[in-house]
Amino acid sequence: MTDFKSKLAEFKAARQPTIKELKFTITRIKKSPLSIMGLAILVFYIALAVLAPVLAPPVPPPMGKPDPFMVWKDLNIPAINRTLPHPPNSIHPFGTTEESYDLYYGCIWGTITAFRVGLMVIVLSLIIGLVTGVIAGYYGGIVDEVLMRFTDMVIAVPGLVLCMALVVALPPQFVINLGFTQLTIALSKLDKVLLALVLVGWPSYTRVIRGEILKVREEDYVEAARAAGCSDFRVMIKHILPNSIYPILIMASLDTGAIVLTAAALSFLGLGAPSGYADWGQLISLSRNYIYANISSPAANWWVWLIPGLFIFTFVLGWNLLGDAFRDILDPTLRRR
Amino acid sequence: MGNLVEVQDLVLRFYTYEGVVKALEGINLQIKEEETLGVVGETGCGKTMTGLSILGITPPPGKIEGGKVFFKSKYGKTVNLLAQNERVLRKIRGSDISMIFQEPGAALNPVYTVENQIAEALLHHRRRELLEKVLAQIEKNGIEKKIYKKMLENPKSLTIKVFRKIPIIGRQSRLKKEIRKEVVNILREMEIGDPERVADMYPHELSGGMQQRVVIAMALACNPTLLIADEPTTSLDMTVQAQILDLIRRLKKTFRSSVLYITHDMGVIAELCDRVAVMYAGHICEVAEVKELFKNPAHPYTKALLESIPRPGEEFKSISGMVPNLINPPLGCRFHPRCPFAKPICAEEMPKIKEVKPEQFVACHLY
Repeated sequence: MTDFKSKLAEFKAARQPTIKELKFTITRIKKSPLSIMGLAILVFYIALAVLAPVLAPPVPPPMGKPDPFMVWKDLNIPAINRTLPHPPNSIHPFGTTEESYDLYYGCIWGTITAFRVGLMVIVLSLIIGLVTGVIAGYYGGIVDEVLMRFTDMVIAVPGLVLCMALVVALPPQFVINLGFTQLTIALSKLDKVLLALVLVGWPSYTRVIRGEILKVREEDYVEAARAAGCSDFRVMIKHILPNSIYPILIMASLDTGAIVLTAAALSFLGLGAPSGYADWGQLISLSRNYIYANISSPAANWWVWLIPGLFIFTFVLGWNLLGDAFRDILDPTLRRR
Repeated sequence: MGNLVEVQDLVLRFYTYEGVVKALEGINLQIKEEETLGVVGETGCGKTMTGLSILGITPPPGKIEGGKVFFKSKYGKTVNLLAQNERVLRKIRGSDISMIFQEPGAALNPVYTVENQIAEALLHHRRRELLEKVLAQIEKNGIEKKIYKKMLENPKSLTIKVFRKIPIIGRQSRLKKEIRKEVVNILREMEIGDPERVADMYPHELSGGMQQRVVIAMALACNPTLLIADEPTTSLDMTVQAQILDLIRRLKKTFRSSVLYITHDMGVIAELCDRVAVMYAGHICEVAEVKELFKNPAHPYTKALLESIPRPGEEFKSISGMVPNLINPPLGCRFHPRCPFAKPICAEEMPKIKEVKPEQFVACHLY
C-alpha cells in the first residue's frame, strides 16, 4: 500500500504541470455560469442519447418497426382519429403527431440522430477544411488561388438551397470501379443529408483557417522555427496549427448547433430522414398541417411544434454556450487573463 | 584564425508589384572564427536579410540572384550554403548556425512552455547524444534497455514517433527527465534565477529580459558555431540590455562561437564587437576593426553615422536627405545624393570595395 502511495506521489510530481493546467481549466469553467449551463445541457443530452433504450424502450411490431430509430405508431387509437394529433396523456407523455406517431419516443431517439448528424458533419468538414486551409495558407500561390476560387463558388450559393439541391441530386449509391473489383457505397436518405451538409460546410472552415494561417505564418516564431531547422511539415503541425486552430474549434462548436438546425429544416421540407424516422425536424414536419389549429385558438395543438422545437432550441443553445466557453478556456492567449 | 563564413557577391532581390526591390547588391563579408562581427546600418538597409541569407532563408517574394556563402561546418567541411538542398540546410540550421530575433516575445511560440520550446531544439539536433546518456543510466538488461537501444539505432524511425504519441506506453520517462535536466541546466547557464519554475512557464508570463534569455537559450541549446543576433536588445530597456550583452559576451567565450551582431546602435557595437561592417542601402560601405572605425572612420556615411549619435549638451545632428528607395536606387554610389563629399564620378560609377589601410576596407571614390 505504501509502495503504491509513493508511486502515486512520484507520478503526481512528474505530471505536475499537466495537473496544474487541468485544475486551472476547471476553475476557469467554474467561474463562468454560462459555460456551466452549456455543459450541463450537453451532458443532459448525452445522457438522453445513452439512456434512450431505457427511457423509451423500442415497441415490438406491429406498432413499432425492427429498426429502433423508426418511431412507433399507436394503432390502438381508432382509425378515424388516427390522422389527428393527440394531446399528452398517460400513454403518450408528449402526445402524438399526425398519423399517431409517439412524440416522446421520437424526441428521445431523435437526440441520437441530432448528435450523429451534428458531430459527423462537423468532424468531416473540419478535416477537409483543415487540410485544404493549411495547404492554401502555407503554400499560397496557384494552389491557394484555385482552392479559394472554388470555396468562393460554394459560398456564393445560399447554403440551404445548395443543400436541398445536393440531397435531391445525390444518387442512392455510388459504384467505384477499382479495376479488379467494384466498390459499392450505398447512401441512405440520412447519409445524403450528411454528405450534402459536409459539401456545403467545409469551404467556410477552409477560409477561416487559411486567414489565420496567413496571419500566423508571418510571426517571428515561425521564422525562428525555420531558423532552428524545422521542416515545412513540422512548422505547419507544431508551430502554425496550434496557434491558428482555436477560432475554427470555436466555430465548429457553434456550427454543430447550426448544422442540427439546417438538418431539421431539411427534414421539415421533407428532404431529410425517411418518413417516421426519429428526427426532431421530421417530428415537426409530421404534423405540419396541424401547427395552426383553428381561428379561435391558433395554438391549440401546441405540443406538436413546441416539444420538438424546445429540444432543437436547447440543443443548439447548449452548443453555442459551449463554443463561447471553449474560447475562454482553450485559447492560451486568452486563458490567463 | 580562418574564416568561418565567407559571403561573396551576394545579390538578393524582391519581386513586388511596384517593381524589383534590390535589397542586397553584391555583399562581401567574412566572419572569422570566434569573433564578433557587428553589422550596422539604418532600418531597411538589408542587415536582417544578410543574416537570413546566411541561414539559407529568403522570405518570399525574395530571391537570391547570385553569390556564394561558404560556411565551415562543425566537422571541418566547407560548403556553399546557397547550393545546398533543404535537407542539408535544415541540419545546419539550429545546430551549426542559430539566430536570435529582435522581439523576444514574438520569437517564442505562445502555446508551448519554455521547457517544450527548448526541448524541441534539443530533440531535433541532439537526440542521439541524449539517448546515449539515458542508456548509460539503465543498468538492468531488460525491455527498457532494448527499447532505448532500438531508438538509438534509428532515432528518427516512424514506429518510434508513433509509439511516443501513445500515452503511458510511450512516456519515455527517462528521456523526458534527461531533457528536463538539460533544459534546466541551459536555463541556469542563462542566469535565470529559478530555472525549475521558469521551465514550466508560458512565454507571456515572462518579462522581456527573461524572454530574450529563453530565446538565447534556444539558440545556444545545440552549441552552434555561429550565432546570428538580430537586434536582440533593441526592445529591452537599458539595464536589461546591459545584462543581455554581458550574457552574450560570456556565452560566446564559453561556447567558443562566432557572433554576427546586427544592430543600429553604435554604442552596442563599441561595447561588444571585434570588427564592424557598415551597411547602406544594400551595400557594404566599410569594414574595419571596431577601434579603428570609431577613431578614423573612412567612408562619409560612417562619419555621418558617428556624428549623429546623440551627445548630451550638443545639438542633435542627423544625416540630411532620405534613405533611397531600393526599387529605383540612385546610380553610382548609393550614398552620393546625401554625401557632402560627392564628386561627379560618384553619380556614375559604383565604387568597389578596397583595402585602404590594413584591415580597413572601404567602398568610396575618395580613396
